[in-house]
Amino acid sequence: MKKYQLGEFEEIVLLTVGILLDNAYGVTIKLEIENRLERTVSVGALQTALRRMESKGFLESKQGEGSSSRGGRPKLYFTVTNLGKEALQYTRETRNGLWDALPGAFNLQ
Amino acid sequence: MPCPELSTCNEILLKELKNFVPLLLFRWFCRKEYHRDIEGDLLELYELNATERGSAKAKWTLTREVLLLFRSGIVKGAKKRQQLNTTDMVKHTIKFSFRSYMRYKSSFFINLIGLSTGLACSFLIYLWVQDEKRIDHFHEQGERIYQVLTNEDTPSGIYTGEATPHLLADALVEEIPGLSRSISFSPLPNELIFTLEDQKMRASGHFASPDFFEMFTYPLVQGNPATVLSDKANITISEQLAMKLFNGLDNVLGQTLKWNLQGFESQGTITGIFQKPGNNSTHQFDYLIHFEQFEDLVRTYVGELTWETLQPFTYVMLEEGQNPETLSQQIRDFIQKKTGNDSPDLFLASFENRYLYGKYQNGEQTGGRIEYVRIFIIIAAFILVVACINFMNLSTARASRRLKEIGVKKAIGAGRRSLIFQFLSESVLLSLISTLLAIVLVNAVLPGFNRITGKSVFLHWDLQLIMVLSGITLLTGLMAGSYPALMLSAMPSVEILKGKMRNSLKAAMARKGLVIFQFTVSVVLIVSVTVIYKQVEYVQSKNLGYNKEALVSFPKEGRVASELDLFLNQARALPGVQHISAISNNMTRSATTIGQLNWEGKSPDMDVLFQFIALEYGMLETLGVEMVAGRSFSKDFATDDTKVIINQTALALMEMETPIGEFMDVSGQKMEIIGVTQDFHFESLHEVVDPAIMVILPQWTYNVMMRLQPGNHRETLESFSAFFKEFNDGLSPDLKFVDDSYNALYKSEQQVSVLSRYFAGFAILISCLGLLGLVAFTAERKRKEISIRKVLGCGVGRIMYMLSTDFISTLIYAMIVALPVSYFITKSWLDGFEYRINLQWWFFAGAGGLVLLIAWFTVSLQVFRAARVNPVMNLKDD
Repeated sequence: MKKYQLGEFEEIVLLTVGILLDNAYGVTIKLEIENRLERTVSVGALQTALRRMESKGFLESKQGEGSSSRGGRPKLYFTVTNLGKEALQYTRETRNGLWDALPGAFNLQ
Repeated sequence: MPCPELSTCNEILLKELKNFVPLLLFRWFCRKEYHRDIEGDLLELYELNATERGSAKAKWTLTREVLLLFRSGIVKGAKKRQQLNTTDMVKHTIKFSFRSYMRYKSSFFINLIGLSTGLACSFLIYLWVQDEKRIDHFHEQGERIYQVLTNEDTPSGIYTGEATPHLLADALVEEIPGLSRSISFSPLPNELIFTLEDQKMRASGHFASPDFFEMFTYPLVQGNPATVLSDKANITISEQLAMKLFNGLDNVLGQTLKWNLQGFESQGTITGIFQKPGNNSTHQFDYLIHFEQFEDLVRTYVGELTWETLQPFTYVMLEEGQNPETLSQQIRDFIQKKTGNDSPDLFLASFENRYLYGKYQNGEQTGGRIEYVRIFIIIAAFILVVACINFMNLSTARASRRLKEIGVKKAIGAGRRSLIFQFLSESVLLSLISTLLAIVLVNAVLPGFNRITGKSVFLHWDLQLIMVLSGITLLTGLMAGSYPALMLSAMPSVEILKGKMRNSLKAAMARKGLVIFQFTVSVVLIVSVTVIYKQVEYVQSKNLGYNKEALVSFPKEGRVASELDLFLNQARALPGVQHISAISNNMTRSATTIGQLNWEGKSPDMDVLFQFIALEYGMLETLGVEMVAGRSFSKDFATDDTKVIINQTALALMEMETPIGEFMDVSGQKMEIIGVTQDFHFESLHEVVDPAIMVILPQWTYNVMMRLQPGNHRETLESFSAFFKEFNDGLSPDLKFVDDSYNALYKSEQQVSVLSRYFAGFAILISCLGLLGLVAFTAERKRKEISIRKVLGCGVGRIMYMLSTDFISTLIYAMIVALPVSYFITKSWLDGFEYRINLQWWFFAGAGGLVLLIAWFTVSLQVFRAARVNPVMNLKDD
């Protein structure tokens, strides 16, 4: 159970990487989250989350070709690993389980 | 998605950011492996923002982002993988260090003994220096306390003294703004006799102004520092004295004590009890009495208090932020207005620094005990260096044995840096072990050290001590290890592994140089020790112009003071007493000086002070001072108490052909000169003999001197004490042999003499240890050569000659360097003495010879062993 632990921000990042599929690198992930969730994301927070999840094995990174844009710096593309997918699945299931367990008397409205 | 059209203006934007500080900062702190792609992201975002919202806004955002990137996942630092590596390396280094210690036990022990003795010496010296620096530094407002000193013109130059005019202290605080307090303090500790009912007790102490306890921090056990001396009849005593007098501290306050100081009697009420000043105080006293009592005493015996008579010490306390220089000038102007005279000239000197910087020559501050502090610091540094040199020499000499290790390490990729690190840790580790041993040593010798130096220092473990000890340890380790580390790590690995490396000529030369240095230091120390010893001995045996053997001195006190004539007459009749009489001096310090003198032919601009010595009849005979001309005082001449005797220095100054029968004007009184004595020393030999006049004036005398007949001194003194006790209502006399008191004047020289003897001994011990190691090493390396030579018929003597010439020639070079150096050092030390020995050639020859002999003995012992060995043992392997 412990091995699937995901923080709230980590979950958002992992999902966004999934959404962007083949085009997930620092800038796109940041913009995507900012657009969808209407919250600002600092590069620092994002990069730490990415690296942390990479070391946990939820993400994989692959260097893109160097381009003349970005001052010649390469892009680092991220993809979700199978373990990452399992983690997302697990998180979703536990959430759903919790939602389902809400008694009728708990009036959401 | 980055907009494709942006890439065209990419270059321009990049140029804009070329020296943008946040970006540079980011490059500096970010981890290498993340840096390129994150920077790419930042640049891309910047481009995006710049086109949307302008470059100023974009720059601001970029700055913010960089600051937010400063977090633990991104910032480079100690990474786990590297940490592991470092700890492994340290483990490896420690293991290798211990292996090399174990493998080369002899050099390990030589280094260990050398370094730990060296460190122990420097720790001891550190403790001594710290203790010296602590003296008088415990007063809470110490840096604001100053002492008023006086410069007086004397024929031998300006004399700087502590005695100040009687009226000074009170006038200063009233008339000079910027002084918050000012106190008078009686000069020498006065021995007086307290009487409590029928109990008599002698105690030594001072008279002081009311503010004394407010200025100086001597804690009171009972009583209030502000009021404890406020009344003229107040007395404060130390805990110890209170215990002795009252057997306890209860009900002591309010008791009345009678006291008697050399015939002057008074009494007072005890209003306070203080803790006796500790070893770290130059003031030592068992009682303090209101200063006006001292003034009464002076009025009784000397006369009205004036601006001309110099006697009490004056201490002042400056207000916060006052400059002593400007105040000195104000005081100088003030005293000149008061006396209308240039001499004495007054100035302020910091009280805290008086102890270490107490010496003045010709009005200039010229050192004092601080010189000894400096000498010992230098000695400590030298001994440590000598010990470090042993380590350097032995490690570089034995380098060939570790070449394989170095070569293999280099071949598998060890950098020069890590090799240096390895060798440095080896030496630091050794110095750490030596420090532990040194601390044990220091603890063992501290009681003896305290006995020699008269101190009570101990290892007081506070932060400062720990910092200093670890500092010295680290420094020693680095100093010892630096040269071997640099030399060994620089060797080319290919040649090492091919076995082509020889001990280079350069390293051998360096070793020789270091050995020369070691022995130079040893010789210099030994010469200095000899000179110090000879000088101290000379001072103690010098002809002082009077005979100090079997001469006993004691203060004129109690009934002896009031009925001196009766006492002297009765004492003269005692068995074993040859002469007895009274005098104003105690033969170790000057007592009174007098300036108002006149004689025929005195040039009007001559302004000199004479020593004024008051005598009772028979004193010159008691001292054994010889007359050069005329006669001594005698009771046979009824008017001898209006006559005067001068010394040779005074005669030379007065330039009289036939002094006998001439008159001189002493404070307005015409007195006939009846005799001239040879010069005799009434002060320490640091001072020259001043011109002096002697008159018969028994009421001015303070000390009684007694010459014992040859024979059983103890018996004589016992019967004399019994007589004194009976005469003086049960008080026993405080007898002191003059030669003991005289020797006590040279206590610091004697301490230095003894201490430096030990340190010189250690220096030569350490040097010889190093030499021993080197010789043993050479003999071992040449053992095959020796064996082959022996097989071919070479004699033991010839082999010994072959092995030792190299070392002996090195030692001779050391002598050539050392002797001139030691000559200059000892000569400048001796220049500080008024009466000094001449440097003899044999001091130098003796020291050089001694060092050569010890070193030669060390060398031959090893060489002889090497030469005697059976050649078969060394040759059978091949």
